[in-house]
Amino acid sequence: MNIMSPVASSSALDSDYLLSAPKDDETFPTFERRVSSRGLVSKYNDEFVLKNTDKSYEQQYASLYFLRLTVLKPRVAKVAADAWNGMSILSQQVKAVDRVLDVRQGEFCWIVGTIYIEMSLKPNILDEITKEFWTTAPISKDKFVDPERDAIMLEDESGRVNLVGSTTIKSELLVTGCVVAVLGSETTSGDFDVVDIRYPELAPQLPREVSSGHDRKYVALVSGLEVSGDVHESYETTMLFEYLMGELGGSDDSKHASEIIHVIVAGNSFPNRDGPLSRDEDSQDDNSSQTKKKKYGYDSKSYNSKPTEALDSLLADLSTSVSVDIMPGEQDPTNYSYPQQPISPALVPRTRRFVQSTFRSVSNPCWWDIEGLRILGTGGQPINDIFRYIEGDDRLQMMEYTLRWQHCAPTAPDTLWSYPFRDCDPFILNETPHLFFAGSQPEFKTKILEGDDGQRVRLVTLPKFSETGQVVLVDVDTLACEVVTFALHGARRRDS
Amino acid sequence: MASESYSTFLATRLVHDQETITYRLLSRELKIHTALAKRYLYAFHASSKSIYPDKVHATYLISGQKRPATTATGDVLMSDVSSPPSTLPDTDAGVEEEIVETVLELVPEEELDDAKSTFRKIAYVHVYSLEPTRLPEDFITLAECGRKVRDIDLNEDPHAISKTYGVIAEPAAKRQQLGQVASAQPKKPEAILPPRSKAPHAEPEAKQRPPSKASTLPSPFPPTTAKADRDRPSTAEVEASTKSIKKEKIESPPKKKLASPALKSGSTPSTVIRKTKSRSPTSRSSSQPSQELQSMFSSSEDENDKDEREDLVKTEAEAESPKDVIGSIHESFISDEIDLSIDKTPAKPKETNIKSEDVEMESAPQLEEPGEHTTKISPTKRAHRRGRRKVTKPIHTKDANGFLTTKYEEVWESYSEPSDEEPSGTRSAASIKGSSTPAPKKEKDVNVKKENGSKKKPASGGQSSLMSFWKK
Repeated sequence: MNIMSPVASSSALDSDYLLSAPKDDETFPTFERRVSSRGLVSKYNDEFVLKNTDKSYEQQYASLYFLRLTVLKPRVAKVAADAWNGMSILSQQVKAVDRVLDVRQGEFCWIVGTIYIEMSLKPNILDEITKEFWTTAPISKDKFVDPERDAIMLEDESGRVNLVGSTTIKSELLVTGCVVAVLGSETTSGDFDVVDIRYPELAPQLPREVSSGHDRKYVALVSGLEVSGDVHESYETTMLFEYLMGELGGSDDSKHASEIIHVIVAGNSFPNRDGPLSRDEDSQDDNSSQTKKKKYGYDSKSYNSKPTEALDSLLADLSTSVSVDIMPGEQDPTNYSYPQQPISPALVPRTRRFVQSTFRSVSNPCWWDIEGLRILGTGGQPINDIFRYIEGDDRLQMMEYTLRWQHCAPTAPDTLWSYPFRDCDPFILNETPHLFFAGSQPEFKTKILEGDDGQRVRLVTLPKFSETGQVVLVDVDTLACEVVTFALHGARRRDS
Repeated sequence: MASESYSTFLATRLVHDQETITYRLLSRELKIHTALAKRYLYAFHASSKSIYPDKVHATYLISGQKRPATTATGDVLMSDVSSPPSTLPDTDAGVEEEIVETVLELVPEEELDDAKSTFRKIAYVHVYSLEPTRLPEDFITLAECGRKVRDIDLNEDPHAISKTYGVIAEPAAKRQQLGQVASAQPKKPEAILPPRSKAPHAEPEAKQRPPSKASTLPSPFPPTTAKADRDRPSTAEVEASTKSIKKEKIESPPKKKLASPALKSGSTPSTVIRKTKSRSPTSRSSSQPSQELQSMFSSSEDENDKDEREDLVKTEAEAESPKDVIGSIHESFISDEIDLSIDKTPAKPKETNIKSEDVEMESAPQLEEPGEHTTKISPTKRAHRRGRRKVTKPIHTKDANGFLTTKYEEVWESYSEPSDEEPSGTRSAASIKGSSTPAPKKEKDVNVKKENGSKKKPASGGQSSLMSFWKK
């Protein structure tokens, strides 16, 4: 940060310095952001961004599961072997069994496979068809989980086995699609009684150099702007952009804002398309696409260009001052399935003029490398989906588990719509990021997660800006978090 | 800034026009630093109390840290809450992290003291905006000011914005010119054009040539002076050009409109041509060209065109830009007939080392000769899309064991619209797709996919005739 014009140091300015008459010959500081590297990790991102010519929907999803198991099996087998080899239970040596179906009764062994949770409340295509026939009101369900009746199974290429063991298996956080190793034995009824369970644990993390100096660098994360462009737009959004440009507040505020080297807009920059109407007739299911009535054809009268224009105007102004990345969320105009393709810059024509310099449209999820800091960000859909599988609402824990499973979207393609990948499962984490964030979460929470090999990850859940007015700043060097909140005195917050 | 002018300005705005003004809008309008604008607002507000009591209302911005738990808005997470049932031993469960939260709050002047009391530590207070009457609860009128500011900023250079208004400067910010964003493409197509002209055969040319008399094109044979050598467009180029052709095609349609299906008018953008080595229809001086054009018209049949085309391809583009481009595009159209001659293209250049425009005329007749064109393009059918293209056909055969097998084979097939297709046995070495005709959009689809020749009947995009349904 350079101070471009000489001025009294900010410490000499008291809080009311702007509440005074203008003096002649006084100059005010203008700050500058430092030049820094803000790149994307194309190694991973290239797998998320699908080329139009390469997309094919003819294949089944089975290959995705197969690839997942193939890649993660050796990793979790290694962890399991380290933990259990040589162990003996009831004076029996435990051994590894390669195929799930090879487990024999009474023998203690461990197997590796993909978890599948049979849930009666999970959305089912047959139910949907039934609904269409009988037009019964769909039951609104926030969660699919029904602890009484859900069955947890372990599956691999050979077959499936039912996992039981109320003390161990029921208390673990498991979702369909995660690859685990379980230790136990087969019961008389053919179920596998689980004694212990292991995950792949955190993937290796790239080391990085932390610069120690007085210059701080921050990455600003904001999610859920929900810019609607209409008359009653919440004004906090404008305030946010003014702050990021260094105009709001006093000189220390500007100075702090100038330490932000990159801004990531993480999803849901557009308002919720579902108006109150569809809420009444459909459930409050987050995944409203399943219960929404199908609309055939397109009614162009209902198109409203205000959100895009407003967002375009805001981003174009912001891009003159800081580099911005925009990542889509479930409400944004791009494909609904995961991974979401980058929002086309054609939607934001004024901002598009910055495409080669400070503006970038990225996929959801996305990997960044900002001054050595590796960041993995999602718009929040995988976490929201995992939320439906388990009881409780600890989002940070869910994020932690996805890192430990080495898979950032395990419920894809089961309940999280996904592209049928054929060659690779791009959600497998080969590396643990330094910063992992999820957008559009209910509230701001953060913690540092530490792994067995010295990995250190900062987990951040970003709340929706339209609800809370909060933007999170993460220090690139120390991983410390700060929050800046914008508020209107006495004004009610818009409920989403 | 004269200290009086701002008060006059504000007085007009607030009292006379009754409009709200924010510090940002003031800074844009007076071209001053935002901090100075804040001061001005304050000063005016202070002085207005005596002059226009109750006519000017201020809204303040307070930035600082709030007292926890007493505020209605955004209760801060001053301590970190970490999650319980994590089995990892090292998570800092229970360790409280201090998260610094800064709040920036917009407050109407009546409630300034109230609001101040909710702050534990105030960093700054300044005037955010002035308005004739107190703002509505959600401050929506300020949005209009914000829009105006952004509209003003839109037209300014980012670095100027930073310098003048005190916005944080971003060294990398660069607003591209309007034409340029799109023009990330343009260079290529342009560059492509010339090569394309090399393979003009593929292109339906006619349209392009704008009637402009600049002849360039006509001087197909015009050989560029020393460019003869360069003119050896390698087949690779030619092939590459086919791809570019596609792009060019995209350009051609618009150009087509300009050009009447006259022969090459030669008015192709010279710039484009210049870029590529492979010639581009060179444009000669206009007078000549027009003549040549005429002659071209008269003398040439498709063959001529073809040849010209080739020449065009070879020759270096010269001054007249439009001609060249058009020429090349033109060529592409004509190339229906000529498409096969694409192969010949490389040969052509050698022949045409004509430097003078006059020579062009002479070369015209020469064109007739090259019997290399094996196309069965009927000269007269210029209006039709013609050409050869590679198509994957299933061939059913009965093999030795009596099994009926199906093999997919790629064959060259000529097609034209609206007439039927005739499969041709010839396989051309060059893999130029004859089907690159820009004109009909449906063809475009073909082009797009055609690299591997998935065959799309021209008629499929739009019925050329009912019979085509049975013809396949």
